[in-house]
Amino acid sequence: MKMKRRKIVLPLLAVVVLALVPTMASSGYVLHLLVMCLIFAVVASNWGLQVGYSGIYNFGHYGLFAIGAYTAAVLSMSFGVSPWIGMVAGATAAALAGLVIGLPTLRLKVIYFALFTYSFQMLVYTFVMINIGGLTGGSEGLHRIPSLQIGAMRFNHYSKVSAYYLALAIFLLSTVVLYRVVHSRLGVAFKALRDSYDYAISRGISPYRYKLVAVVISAFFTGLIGAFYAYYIGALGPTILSWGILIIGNAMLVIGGFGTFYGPIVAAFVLTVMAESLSGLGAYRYIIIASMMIAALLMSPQELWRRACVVTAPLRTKWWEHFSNRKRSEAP
Amino acid sequence: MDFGSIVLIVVSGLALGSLYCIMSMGLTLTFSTLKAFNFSHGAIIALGAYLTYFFLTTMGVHYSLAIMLMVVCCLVIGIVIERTILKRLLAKGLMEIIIGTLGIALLIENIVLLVFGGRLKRLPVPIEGAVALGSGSISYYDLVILGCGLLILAVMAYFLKRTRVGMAMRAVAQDKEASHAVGIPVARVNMYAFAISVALAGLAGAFMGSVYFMTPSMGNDALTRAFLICVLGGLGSIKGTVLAAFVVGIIESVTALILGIYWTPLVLFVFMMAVLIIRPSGLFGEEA
Amino acid sequence: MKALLECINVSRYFGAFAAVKNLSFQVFPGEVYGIAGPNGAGKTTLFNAITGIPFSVTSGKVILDGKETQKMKAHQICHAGIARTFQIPHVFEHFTYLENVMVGSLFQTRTKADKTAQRRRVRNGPSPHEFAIDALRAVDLLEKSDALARGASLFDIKRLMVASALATRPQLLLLDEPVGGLNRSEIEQLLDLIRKLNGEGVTTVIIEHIMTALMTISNRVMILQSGEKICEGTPEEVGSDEAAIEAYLGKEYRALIE
Repeated sequence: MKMKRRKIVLPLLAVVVLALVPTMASSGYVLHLLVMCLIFAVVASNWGLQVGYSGIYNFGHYGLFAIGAYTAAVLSMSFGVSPWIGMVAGATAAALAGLVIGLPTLRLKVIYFALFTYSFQMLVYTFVMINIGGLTGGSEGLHRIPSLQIGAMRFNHYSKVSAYYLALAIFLLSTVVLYRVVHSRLGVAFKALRDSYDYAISRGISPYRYKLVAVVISAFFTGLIGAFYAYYIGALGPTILSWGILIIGNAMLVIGGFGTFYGPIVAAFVLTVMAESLSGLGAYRYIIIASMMIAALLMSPQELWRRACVVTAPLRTKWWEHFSNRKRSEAP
Repeated sequence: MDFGSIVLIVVSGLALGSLYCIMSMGLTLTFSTLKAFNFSHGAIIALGAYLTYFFLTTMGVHYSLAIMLMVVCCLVIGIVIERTILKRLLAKGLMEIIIGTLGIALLIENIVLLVFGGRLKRLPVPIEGAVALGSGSISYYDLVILGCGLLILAVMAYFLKRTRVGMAMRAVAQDKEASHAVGIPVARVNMYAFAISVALAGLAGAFMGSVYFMTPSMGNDALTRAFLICVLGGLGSIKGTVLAAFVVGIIESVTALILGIYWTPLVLFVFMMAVLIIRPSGLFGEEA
Repeated sequence: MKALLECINVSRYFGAFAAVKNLSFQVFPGEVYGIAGPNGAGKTTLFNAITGIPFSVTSGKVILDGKETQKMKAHQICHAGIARTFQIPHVFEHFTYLENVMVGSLFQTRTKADKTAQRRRVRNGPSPHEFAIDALRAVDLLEKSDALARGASLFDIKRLMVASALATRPQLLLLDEPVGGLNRSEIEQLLDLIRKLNGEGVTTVIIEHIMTALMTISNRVMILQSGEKICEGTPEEVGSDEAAIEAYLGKEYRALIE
């Protein structure tokens, strides 16, 4: 019973803390950082559903994010669609895209799905850059995207508190849905396929169907938060499709842990803050994060800690000896 | 269109195909022997270009020597990467391999950026001049690339079919456990295969550095094409890769001529997605 | 009586090598059908091809209760009514015993017809959870329902495989070397279990190496060698068949039954 209680209490506590943050935050910068954390947490946890739970590497996940963002932005800017509808449109577009890429290729081996989604990602990038009819803004990007608003209240970069709560709401929605999925029959299918693939199939689980469901669900929320991102920042560019962002996203999954539920979320918060604080270092930023990711890939955190302890042991003994010798010599 | 122009298209297509052949063969070798898809292949191509640039300009050596030094460096780098990172990634699983090699790609790209800066560079062409053909001309360098490509093909064919190490690589590619059972040092064979793959990539980079502009992210375009070629030829089939390289080379030549270079990447991506949907095993590959 | 399972000229090729070659046989409802043969005879390959895991037949027909299944995907074959256990013990490590069996009962309602049928069953019959409990009880593992399956003993894993197969409510149960690796008393218990299940009407096909076990439990037996049937009949008939003894049983066996 204690274990079950802990499972509910801790997350609930975290939600309460998150909800109270705006009252404690001193600067708009902190709030902005947290909004970005929430955005990337949604992207990471949804990606985790595909990579960690279903065992498929969807290279095009950030492409889905971009589809959500650009669909919403383009609809609002060039066609005057209300941003609220734009959000839904972005989410739906992304989900449809997920369906389209999943249908033909999820039956194949994972590597083919990875390659296909890689070209999909590149296709999205190329499409954005080609800038048909000036809609997508090319390398310059889109600026002055209209904001989400209800009456006088805006939800954008300038009204950070309201934006924060909206982001929090979307984050909670996505997380709750993912939680329900993972703990439903779908989740059983994912775990069974991961534990023992042939055995799972022999008991009637269709890997294709469940992988498709995972892709579409995660695509929807990724597109939704992508649309929010566009409306929040008010500007959009092809940087979200860069390899750097992809690798940071990967790092969130790796460091968070494949197949864990809260791991990618926590890692998203940590890595977003880290990426932000390292942004002054230019190329070093990616080198540090990529190295961390590779280290985490090669060794689990426990192993890393153990290795670190073993390696530094002789040094630590030396320091200790030196320290205690000094103390002895200083003693009267 | 006159005969000369047709020859021009064919020869430039073959030259491009030759370059692509060198570029993709390493990737196929890694996939067939180590069963690992190396997403850092593109970054290594870029690395090869920049290493050659370094030896050429900063150290001022002759072009051929620069190339040789670069190849040696690549062999060493390949061995180091395989021993330290790749070996462990292979033991863990497909997801780890994909993500790990992506990480290596980003690392290499950013180290190159750090050391050499992001401004466009160009490797000098060792042989100037061109041959007039039809409505245009084909440069001597393109012919050199064509020649080198065919030479490397011949060397690789000999290596894989007639030497012990080459045969060992083919054996490991077909059945790792059986190879263990007959006493082949699989770990060492993997190391050699990867080192050769890196060297080939570096070489491709050196060629590309003269033909195209050099940026730290030049590897991305190359990687995409290498993917397409490997998939089209059939993942893991060297024969298929060679054939596919020339097919793609010719397709790209023709597309560039008709639609312009601007549209070529789009055509390639759509083509790759089509291949993956219609016939993912490619020309000679395994069942998907 | 109409056959429940009928294989007509089933072959499975790997390149040019025929692991199973033009094999035809029938299994009738309610019987226990044994398959034996030397190593490499193609027994497990036959099971793999019939169930579609991980490959299907190269040629020939597999007919289950009048429906052809050779072109179906593996999970569809399960829904059609064939459940199997594996020679190499498979288990879902991160699940409890009960959850392991529930994987069998949870995924049997794929089509709409299934769903309405199950809704009707649910009103009148047990839920997937209850089915799993029944299956666990049948294999005598009920008291361990909440134990994590990781680290379970071989005997438990083998019984779990049978239980999860039962939970799919199959028309046909395929057991691949169910008693391999077990000690004498465990073999006896598992054979009793199979007899009990058969008594309740579950048609069973068994692959087994341990001849005494196979012969005592089967109604009919088929001996495979190099992918072909060299003998078929009741255990007595097969036991006296010259070709079978030559290929597989050994002359000592004849001495045994005489």
